[in-house]
Amino acid sequence: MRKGCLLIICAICLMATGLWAGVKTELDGVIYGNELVFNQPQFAFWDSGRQRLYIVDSLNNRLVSFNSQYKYISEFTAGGKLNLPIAMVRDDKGRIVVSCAGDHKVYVIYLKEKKILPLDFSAYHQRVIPYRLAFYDGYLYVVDKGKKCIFIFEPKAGGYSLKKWIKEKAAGIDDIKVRNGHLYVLDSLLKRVFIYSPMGNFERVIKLKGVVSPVSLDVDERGTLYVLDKVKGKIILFNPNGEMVGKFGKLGWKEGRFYYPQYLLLSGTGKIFVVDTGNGRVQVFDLH
Amino acid sequence: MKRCLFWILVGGLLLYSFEVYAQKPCLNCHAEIKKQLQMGYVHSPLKKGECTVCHSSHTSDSPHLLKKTVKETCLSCHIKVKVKYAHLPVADGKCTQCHNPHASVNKWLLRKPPKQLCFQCHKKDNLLIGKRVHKPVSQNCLSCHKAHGSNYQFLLTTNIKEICFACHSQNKVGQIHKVQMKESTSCLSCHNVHAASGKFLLRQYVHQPYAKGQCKACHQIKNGEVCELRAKDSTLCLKCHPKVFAEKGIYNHLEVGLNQNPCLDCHSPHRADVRPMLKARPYRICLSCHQETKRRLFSASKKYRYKHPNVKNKKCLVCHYVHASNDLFFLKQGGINTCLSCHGKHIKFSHPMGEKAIDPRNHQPITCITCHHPMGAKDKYNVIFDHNKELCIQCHQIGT
Repeated sequence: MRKGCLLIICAICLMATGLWAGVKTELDGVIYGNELVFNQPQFAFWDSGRQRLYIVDSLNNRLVSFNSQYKYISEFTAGGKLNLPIAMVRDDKGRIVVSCAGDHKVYVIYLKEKKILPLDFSAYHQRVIPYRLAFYDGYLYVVDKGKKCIFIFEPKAGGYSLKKWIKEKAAGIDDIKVRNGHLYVLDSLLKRVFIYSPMGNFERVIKLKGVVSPVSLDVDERGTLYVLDKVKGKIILFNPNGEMVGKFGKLGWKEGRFYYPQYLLLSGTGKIFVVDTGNGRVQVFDLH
Repeated sequence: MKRCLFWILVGGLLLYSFEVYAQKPCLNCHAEIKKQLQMGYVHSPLKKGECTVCHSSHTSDSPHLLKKTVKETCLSCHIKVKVKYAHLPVADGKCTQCHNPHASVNKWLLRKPPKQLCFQCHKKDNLLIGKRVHKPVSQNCLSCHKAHGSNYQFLLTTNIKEICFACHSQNKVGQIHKVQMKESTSCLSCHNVHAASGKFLLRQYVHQPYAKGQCKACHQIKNGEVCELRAKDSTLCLKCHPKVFAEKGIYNHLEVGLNQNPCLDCHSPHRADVRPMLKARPYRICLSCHQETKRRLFSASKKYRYKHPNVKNKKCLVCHYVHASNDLFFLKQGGINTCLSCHGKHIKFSHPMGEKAIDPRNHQPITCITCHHPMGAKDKYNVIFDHNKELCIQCHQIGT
């Protein structure tokens, strides 16, 4: 009887600490915006060089930056030119690249020169619905939700030029990340992760089991996939073979819980940023 | 030693006689089952008097003193076959929804003749939307569908063309249709296989270019023959329907779909029974992708007991936009106004809402869906938490 009670108490403690599923996390910070709270934040970008966190605050048409202590630094609206921004990256030259849902365009913002130029898709000859972005080794990756393909832009003098596009049997690309020398593509409808080389050569596919609505992913240095399930309000971990190895998070409104989150980002220094869109905030977790 | 052997022998005899006796006396009390023995088709264990194959004679955790659950009991003799699409009662293990486990006047121990049995769940009003009824529908559903499961969609016995051409000569069909039918062309694109009001079971509403014979509006024409589509993606549709593309938002259905052209996930390009050229009734289309919502809607769980009337009546489009929105749930007019379009009076007496009432849990303005979940909630009025206490203390702390 005593042993039974002890086992139950141990199980409760393990569940409370998150160890039950092999993951221990601790809430490190919650960001709601500045005086103006976020309205449908969609994306986060961690600039490890500058130690800055950028949040794409879509319905407020702005990019907001925070320091490593999650204190507000500044906001950027590109003179009111951002029309429903949904993703951004800051490249190695200090330029900001933003994709906007309002006018289906990707803008390259030259901060020093104070000019904004749209990314040139003319080589593709078709209408593009740009979505998420990634930046790796000088190359810019853009998801086109309309044609369900990924564009790879190579650096050229003063900007980018379209190098190639990857078009596979994806039904709905929701996120891309370039990590550990591989391009990871999350297909939310087929519930699969397609893995390519950074130049777009197909390598393999991982089927995600036990997920309902995966919307974002990231990969750590061991190759563990972190998949954000917006309906379940959970982050589910898969090993490189696609086996589930853990999960954490719970659906809800209080701090530490998620309500229809949209984006997940690993900082590379043991932090997980979750853009908790339904709750209008970004939550930062320490991963032990 | 001898005494021991004697008692073992006596015990064994008693057990054997009890086992033999146990099969007979069940029917002495269960007279209604005994009557069923006179029916044309009797389940073989009952015929042999082997009630204990399925039932425990003393106690059980399952209803009707079954040794296992209904599904497990049936599958202990009847082999399970793995298929891509399973009939819902089969998947849920509700074998007794269609079959009588003891006896029946119908073959395969069916509770009703096959035709009547299917219409018990698949309502005629929904299925037969025209006066002209396809002959097999009035005869036997099983001529095209499988009852338990199939590797083909809609539980079809084989692929749709093979089924059609089994009765309708392929040559004749080819002669009637002016254009060469492609491998990928489905008969269902224009014909309703169950019933329709038009001749040849043709679907009611016609896409304008198709009605006018302007095939080239969408297809390439080579040597007078209709060939591939002019574009494989949504640009094909958006060329004539630019307003749809103009509906911009951070959430967009045009960006997601199993088809290369996501428009064709919901709309039919030639003929349809539901306006505007929809492949099926809106809720059916919505739930074909929104599986989590479907699970809530059809769940018998107390957690989702209370549902909004529009949800029960399957009217998704009363509250939701379909193409694009800046609202997380595609709600028309934003969160509060969507609800107020019907519940206008509530503004006078409800909890403060909007920009001036901030939810302390997430610093967001309180809206109707802060407390209510129309798709299914555990408390009255679709309230997410128990409205007597649990709901209020989410935000209002109780003083000690």
